[in-house]
Amino acid sequence: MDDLDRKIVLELKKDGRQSAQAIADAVDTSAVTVRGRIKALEDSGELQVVAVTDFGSVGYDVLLAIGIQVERRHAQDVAQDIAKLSNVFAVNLTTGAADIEILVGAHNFSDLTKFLQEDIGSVQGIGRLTTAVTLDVWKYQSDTDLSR
Amino acid sequence: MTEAILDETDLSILSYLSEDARISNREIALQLNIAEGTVRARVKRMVDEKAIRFTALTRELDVADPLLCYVGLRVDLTLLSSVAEELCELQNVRFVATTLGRFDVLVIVLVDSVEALSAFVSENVMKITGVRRVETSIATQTLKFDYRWGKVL
Repeated sequence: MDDLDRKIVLELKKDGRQSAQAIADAVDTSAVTVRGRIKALEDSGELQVVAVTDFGSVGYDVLLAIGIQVERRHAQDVAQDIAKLSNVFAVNLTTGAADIEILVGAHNFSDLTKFLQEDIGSVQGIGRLTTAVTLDVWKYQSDTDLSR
Repeated sequence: MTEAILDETDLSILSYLSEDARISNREIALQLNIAEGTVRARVKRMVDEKAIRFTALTRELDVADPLLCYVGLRVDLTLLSSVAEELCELQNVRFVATTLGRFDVLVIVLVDSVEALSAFVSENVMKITGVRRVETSIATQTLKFDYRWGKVL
């Protein structure tokens, strides 16, 4: 990425759906150049322009950060099973007290019972759970692509 | 409890936009067999209501090979909000929430080395008034960090 690419990317981070002309005006180049640069970055896999959805807008009112200690199974295998659950937004293998850290969305507290009993409960190797129930989310942005 | 403000049609439109936000309203309308005006109006409404935002997903520009770290804080509870506010301003912080349970505040930050994490804690976090104790944990592998979800502010 050169300087112009970076400027275009920063504009896209602010508003990924603004027109090529608006970006061109902001970074002082032509719309044709902007379109070409975006296409090249997308084609090389360095950039993906996406919509991020607020978890509250689909009714996920409760967000939990759960630390999981694994028993008698590889943490990676346990983490892989958990990553398949659709209301689990993040799964990381970690150092520290917990082997796995996850972020989970739930519609309400009774929804959590179902999550613990049916979803987490059916995954083999779960030892101890330690939780933090989020009260206020001040910031939550995942615009870094950690999978690349 | 807040009501879900997105309906099935909104979610169908989002299934396209969360893969490629540069897709035209016309293309989405064709795929879903609905009017282009409907797509345009719904996208505008979702943005106006802060249900969605459009952003660019990249490898972090200023962190070459990011390490994702969990930082859990114990703080003076009377200063909970001001601590959270200050944490949001720190560079490469991706997540800040006040929580009930094992931490008072949970932070997720991207750093480029273990040394940088240690510097982040001692030079940034510990200097915030009201922070009493800090616990860190480094992600050795990220199996999922679903970019499709976030908090739109």
